[in-house]
Amino acid sequence: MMNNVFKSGPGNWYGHLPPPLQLLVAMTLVFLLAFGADILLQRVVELFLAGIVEQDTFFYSAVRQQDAFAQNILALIRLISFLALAVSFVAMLAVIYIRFFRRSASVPAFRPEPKRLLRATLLSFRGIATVTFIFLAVTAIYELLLRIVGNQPPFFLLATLVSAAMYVLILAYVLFDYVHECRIIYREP
Amino acid sequence: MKEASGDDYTTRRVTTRTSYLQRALQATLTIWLSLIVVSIVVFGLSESLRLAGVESNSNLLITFMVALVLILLALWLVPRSLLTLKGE
Repeated sequence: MMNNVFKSGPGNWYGHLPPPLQLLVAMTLVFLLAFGADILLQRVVELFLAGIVEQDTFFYSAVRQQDAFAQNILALIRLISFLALAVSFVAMLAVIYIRFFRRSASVPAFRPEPKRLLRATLLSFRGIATVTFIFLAVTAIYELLLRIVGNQPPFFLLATLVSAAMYVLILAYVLFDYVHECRIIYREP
Repeated sequence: MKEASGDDYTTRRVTTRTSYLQRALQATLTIWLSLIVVSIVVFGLSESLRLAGVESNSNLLITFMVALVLILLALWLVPRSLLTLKGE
């Protein structure tokens, strides 16, 4: 399907949009997908952590205290990831505004390349969706192991925090790569 | 001639799909392996700290910080194309 899209090029409506709007639409869609994927994965990890806490009910108080602390760390990871997404999106809006609308008359216009932009956007979509699916599968496997072998404090707790942190970092890298590609596409001639 | 071109297109499509699936599987295995290695290392560290008598919350915090550094190291070592799932 993706090959057909690349082959046929951008659709009528997208190809006829002005370049700043094309970039804005593409970036907004990618950031929205990243935000949605982040919410989904953080929610799944939160539920997994709740499962661990449930199994730790009969452990001694130090373990329960550690669980509560891990929940705080997870909340911090979530907050940082949402804030980072929001800040980078706002920064992108500012960059688009400055590059397209505050350009001096002496600087030549940008070359619009809707086909390359569409390709980069779709590849980014595919990357974010696949990485999210991988982490959902990994969390599901951990959940299964937790149900089979029971909790081994604090192994699953650490595994949860490590996978949440790794997902956030990979998502950030995928977005950084997309933004970098957009910069190359819309570089000044 | 037209038939040959159609066959060529189908072959290319199947190859692209297979190569994407291979990349996705490779990425899954790499990410999972990195997660397992980091988890085992930090679990070992956590147990060592526990035996050394470090308080449980400080233990978790220190272990998590070390895990973050290890994750960054792992992501730095992994090829970039495996993270973005794009071709070379």
